[in-house]
Amino acid sequence: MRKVYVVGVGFTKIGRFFDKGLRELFAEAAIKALDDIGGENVQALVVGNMMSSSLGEQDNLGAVLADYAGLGGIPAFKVEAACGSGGVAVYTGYSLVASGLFDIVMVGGVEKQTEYPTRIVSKGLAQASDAEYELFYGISFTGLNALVMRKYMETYGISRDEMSVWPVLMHKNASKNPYAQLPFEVTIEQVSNSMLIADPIRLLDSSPIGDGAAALVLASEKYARKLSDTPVEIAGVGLATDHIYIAYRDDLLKLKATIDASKVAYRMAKVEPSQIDVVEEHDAFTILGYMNLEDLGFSERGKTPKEIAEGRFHPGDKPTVNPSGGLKARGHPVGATGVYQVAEVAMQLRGDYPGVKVNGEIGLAQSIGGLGTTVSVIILRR
Amino acid sequence: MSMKFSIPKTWRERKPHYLLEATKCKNCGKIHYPPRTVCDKCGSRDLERTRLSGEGRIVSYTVQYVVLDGFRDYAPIIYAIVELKEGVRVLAPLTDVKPGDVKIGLKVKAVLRKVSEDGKLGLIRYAIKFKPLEAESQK
Ligand SMILES: [Zn+2]
Repeated sequence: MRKVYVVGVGFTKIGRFFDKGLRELFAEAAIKALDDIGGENVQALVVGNMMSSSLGEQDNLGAVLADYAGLGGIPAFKVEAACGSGGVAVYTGYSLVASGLFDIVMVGGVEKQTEYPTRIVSKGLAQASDAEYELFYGISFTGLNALVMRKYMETYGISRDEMSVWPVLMHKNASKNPYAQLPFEVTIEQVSNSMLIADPIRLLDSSPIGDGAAALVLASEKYARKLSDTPVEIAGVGLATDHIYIAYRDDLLKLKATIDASKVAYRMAKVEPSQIDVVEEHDAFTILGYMNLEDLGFSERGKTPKEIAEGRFHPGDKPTVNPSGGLKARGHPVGATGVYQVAEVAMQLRGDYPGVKVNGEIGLAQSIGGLGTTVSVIILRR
Repeated sequence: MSMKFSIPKTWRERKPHYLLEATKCKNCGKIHYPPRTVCDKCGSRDLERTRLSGEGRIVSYTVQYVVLDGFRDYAPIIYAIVELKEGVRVLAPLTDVKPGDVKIGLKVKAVLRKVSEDGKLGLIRYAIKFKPLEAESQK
């Protein structure tokens, strides 16, 4: 397999954009990424997106976005793995370059949610679960995560206020992020007293609904130096899946797919968790923020909330976790999120990240589709 | 008449939803709910249908206040993961119980209930939900 590098990045602010559709949002990110490589042509486009079909009534998305980003005619297609679509798009784009099929590939991600009523978006998001045995009963994605959060709190004896440190840290990091959807700070009291959505999950435990698009340009070793002065190597990739019916899993308190995907990525990159400087992980809900760190090998089961309260994983620590503010506060434009994460980690390593900065050489991005049903882990090295 | 719910689909899934019908591997004995075509433990394709007891204990639960379209009349809905006597876990709503009376470890049994309806004239979906066993059976 050939080495693959991130040579260009671009993304939009995350928020509510009534004046931009899927095409305009994606074109904005794609143009930034193309400008980042000096306007060179890309040979193929892979797009991560979840709900263009269920919400936007648009299939055939690869062709549409290639056309409207000025890339018309090149091979282009969408990959879908629910909220983990972006990570799987990066994984796919990596494979296209590593295999030798192409030298320069754009990986994009885009999601458009805010122009639909929340009840419609919630239904679209809930389609990440088992349609016949979970969604059938009307359980929302928040509801499924709440089952895990209650079990976690009960098993490890963690109080509501102890759980609330995650959103506080994420909002603090996002307050310095110019493209974050929620760039303001919150307190433990605000988190613990926010509206109940699905007990014990409250509003401020949940990532917001937002629009956004991100794009990366990946290149082979031969082209990497030509297109960028600061190429960042994709040193390891891992992808794993698990039972979609969460009741079928032996242990609710770990996401086996994260463990499996990260093992593969660590082995491929020849690194240990202790060597990672910066992490962007998939904290769609507070509970996932903690469990992801445990599954990725950064902290012990049930101890993460306490460690974060004591300053672990904050800016300045190794690893620094979600300097962007994470899904919680940077925002979670579903199918684009995994692409944002890789773009953010790449910028941290090359030194031009616009928010909380981490000085380091190795970074990790983890993206989850469904409640741990599809997980990708991507390790980058300067 | 609304046709949002597929009739063939509802018919096809009736036994798992109405009777808690699962599959059991004839090779290794593992029971699968929902039913499978291939055993995920040993890879055998030789499976038979079996009915689950419907009795078990709550492993975890949530009270969902913000419900999806089509479920407004039932809000808030309590959902639980229940571990049945056979060791198989099932996710379903609870019924005939107040949120404050639910806890992890509570003994429950499956009962058939209405889940949702396709407008006033369309198909009605029925399936098992769980209700608490009587107080004296909780020991
Ligand atoms: Zn078997």
